[in-house]
Amino acid sequence: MTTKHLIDGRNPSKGSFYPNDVLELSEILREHHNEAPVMVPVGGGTRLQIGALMPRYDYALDLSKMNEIVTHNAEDLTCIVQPGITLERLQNVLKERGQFLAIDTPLPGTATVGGTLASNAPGYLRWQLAHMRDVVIGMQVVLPSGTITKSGGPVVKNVSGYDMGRLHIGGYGTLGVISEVSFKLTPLPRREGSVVVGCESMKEINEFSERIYDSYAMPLSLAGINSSMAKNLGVDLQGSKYLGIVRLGGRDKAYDRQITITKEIFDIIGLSFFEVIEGDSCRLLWESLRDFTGYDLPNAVSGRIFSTPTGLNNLAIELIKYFEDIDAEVSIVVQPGFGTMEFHFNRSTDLLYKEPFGMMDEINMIVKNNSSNINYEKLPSNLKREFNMWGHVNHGSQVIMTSLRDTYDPTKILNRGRYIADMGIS
Amino acid sequence: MVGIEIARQKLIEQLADIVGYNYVLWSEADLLVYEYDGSIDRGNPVIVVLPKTAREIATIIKVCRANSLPVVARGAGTGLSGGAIAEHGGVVVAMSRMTNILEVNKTDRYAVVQPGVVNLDLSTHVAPFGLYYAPDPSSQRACTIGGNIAENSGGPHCLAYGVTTNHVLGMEVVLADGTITWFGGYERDGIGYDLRGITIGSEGTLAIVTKIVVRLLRLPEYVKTMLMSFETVEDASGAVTGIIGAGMIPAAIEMMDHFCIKAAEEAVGAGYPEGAGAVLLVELDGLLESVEEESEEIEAICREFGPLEIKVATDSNEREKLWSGRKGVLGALGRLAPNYYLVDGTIPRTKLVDVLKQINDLSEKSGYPIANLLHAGDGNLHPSILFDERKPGDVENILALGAEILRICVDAGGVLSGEHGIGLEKQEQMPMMFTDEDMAAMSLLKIAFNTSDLFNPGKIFPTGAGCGDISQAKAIAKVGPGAYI
Repeated sequence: MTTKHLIDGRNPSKGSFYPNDVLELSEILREHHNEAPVMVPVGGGTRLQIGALMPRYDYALDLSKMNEIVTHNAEDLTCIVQPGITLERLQNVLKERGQFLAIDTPLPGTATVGGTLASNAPGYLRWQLAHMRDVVIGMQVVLPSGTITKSGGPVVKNVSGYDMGRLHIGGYGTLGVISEVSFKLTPLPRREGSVVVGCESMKEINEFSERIYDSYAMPLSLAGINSSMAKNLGVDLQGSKYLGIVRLGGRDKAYDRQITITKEIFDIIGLSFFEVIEGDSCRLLWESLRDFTGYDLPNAVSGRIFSTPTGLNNLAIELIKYFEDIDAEVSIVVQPGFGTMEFHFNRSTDLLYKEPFGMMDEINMIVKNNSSNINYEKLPSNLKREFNMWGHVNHGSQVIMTSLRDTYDPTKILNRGRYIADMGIS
Repeated sequence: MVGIEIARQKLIEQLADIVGYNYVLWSEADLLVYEYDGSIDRGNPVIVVLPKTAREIATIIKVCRANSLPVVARGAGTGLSGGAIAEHGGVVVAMSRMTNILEVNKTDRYAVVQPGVVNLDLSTHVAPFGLYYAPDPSSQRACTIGGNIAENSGGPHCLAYGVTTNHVLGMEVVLADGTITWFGGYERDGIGYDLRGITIGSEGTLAIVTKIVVRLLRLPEYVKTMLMSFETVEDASGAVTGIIGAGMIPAAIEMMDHFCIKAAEEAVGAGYPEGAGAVLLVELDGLLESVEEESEEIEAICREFGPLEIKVATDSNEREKLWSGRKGVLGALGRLAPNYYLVDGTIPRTKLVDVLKQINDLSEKSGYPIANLLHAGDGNLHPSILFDERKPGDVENILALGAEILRICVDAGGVLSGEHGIGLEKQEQMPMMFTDEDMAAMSLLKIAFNTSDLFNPGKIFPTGAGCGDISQAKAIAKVGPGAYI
């Protein structure tokens, strides 16, 4: 038995399937449908810690053998791939033709396309390129009944029927198993580099970000990290408390111009240092940031906050003050232009959840007061029993999500009890 | 009959209680305006109601549900696939009183609008802030944001910036039981199924949208518009493939063939060269340096295909002039024939040459001229079949020809619609692209949303056996005297 399929300390009680193709996948689901087992689709297994505790865990559906590039139409900037291909292998093939898929999920050497989409994995390429759902143009899905269905296709513009793929991106494999995906691709920038600036406060990070946002620069990514995160990444803060990192790309003159714009903004604000990094040092910085997914410790907690750009500015300042007040060492990375923030810490269980003044209650209150939302991606298993990992959705959406689940997977074969759609209607 | 009339009077009273008598239409003359959209189809609503708020819409829905009457939401009625037609009668909910731009947030770059806001009005409104709304369908002077959401509309500039779904953050919707709720919100990412995404492009069949949060983009620093003319459509298509294949995604790449060039020149005098087989209108925007570097490269690629002329707009007036031909071409086709039937399909961009040749062969074989207008950069074709509806047999013939063109698109790896939607126009062609299982999986959504076919019934899914003959007979039966196609 592999540890790859381990979820909340449990391996699948009845075993794992490794389908070679969509027909085998369909047959497995069809054959077992009537006995209503609990099955979990697994890609690279990098994000299995997410979700509430399942009542049972019978089978893993490991898609790692469905790992082919079906077609890569480089002239058309599209490709069709199977779900088990790792992001790294796919990006390497695309790179040979000067292209890439605008998804930079953590641990791409292990993470698969299917798992990345199903779990709406985070990434840093969202400043210009928006959400991963914007690069998916078609999808084949096997329903819990074993029926093979498709929507969309290998064209970049399509309004033929319902865009079913949307439901499966971030759906955590609860409405069906992704068995093939069509993507639209992006040309690689001819030149790429990053600017790193030193900041004394989150307020300075916010100002830097806002001014970049308001300029003609078109960054590929923009992130701000605190000293604790810099320590995790082995990055020298050069005496600053925070770092702002802007990833820029383009043809030669356009790239140079964006560096100039960034330098002008640096000068206006009067930040502490300005450094341009290119080549391996640039690549390694973003890779280490991307691949840090939290502490690998029993009481580790990782959260992801969703807000508006300005909403996040206030929220981040408040949260950091709270962490400082209780002397908690928390690693933080913000994507101010996109409105997301991730935080990671490791504390004793008693401190984590002590009604009504527990740390997570306080965090949730700050998030709520800033009209934002939070999803805990990593939480000790014992806390999963009593704590809602999934954050809040409105009543009307919860009713429709529950209904979708009841319609497409009435016996809850896929990921029973793990996803927000199974949390019940309040 | 008396019973029906009494029931209708009762319904009118109920609806008038919600919105006021002035905003309930039921006379034959009033309803006439709402029986059609921009497509070939016709359908007569029982009543048209013009609400002002989401709460009013929620109450209207409850009344309609209690009376087992379908509800069809309607924006400006510019759609080209019959999406706003009251195919099964019922009540049309027209959004013409919900036209307010409620909020513009310059810092976070979003606007909150009501569904009846006209697409172009939004961009005009936010222009003083240095912002714009990217999706720009050809009908943007008239079409509404609500209608754009129903059809997931695109436009020439969606090549670089994406279609409607890529620019909507959240929506207030009214569900089939009258619940008012939100799908998505003001954030760019969130938790749970993407209910926002699945509702956009669902042609008003899942929910009625009453408020929309849209992303706004910064106006670019620099815009460059180029017109390249070529001897043949094949040369122009080769240039398109070359540009995309070289890793460049301009803001727009539009193509027009000799029919379109002739019509546009006669109508607006856009300065398109006489005698060209095709022209490409290429627009780049962004950083000055980026635009200049890419335009040099695009020019070099186009030169490989022997252009007759390359013209670059030097100021905004020249740019407007070059675009005027493209924007006016559909209206101008009336100079070439009394009617045209505009087909909408998308193919992989690398198949442009082959598919256009097949369409040309079809044209020659059938004897009907086909003017080709393309959002070439994203492979979205708009072959326009020129005909005269007064000639017996013409309508039947051009509908059959349209279906053949769609078959060519699907066989080339393409799809039935790039931006007009399925609606009534193409529902019988859905089996060309989707299996029964695919369509069954899609139609389960209506069960999950508990619509019981309340919202816009009779759209998207085939009504018969999926047989081409059935669909054409059905379509022909709908074409009334003087119908404009």
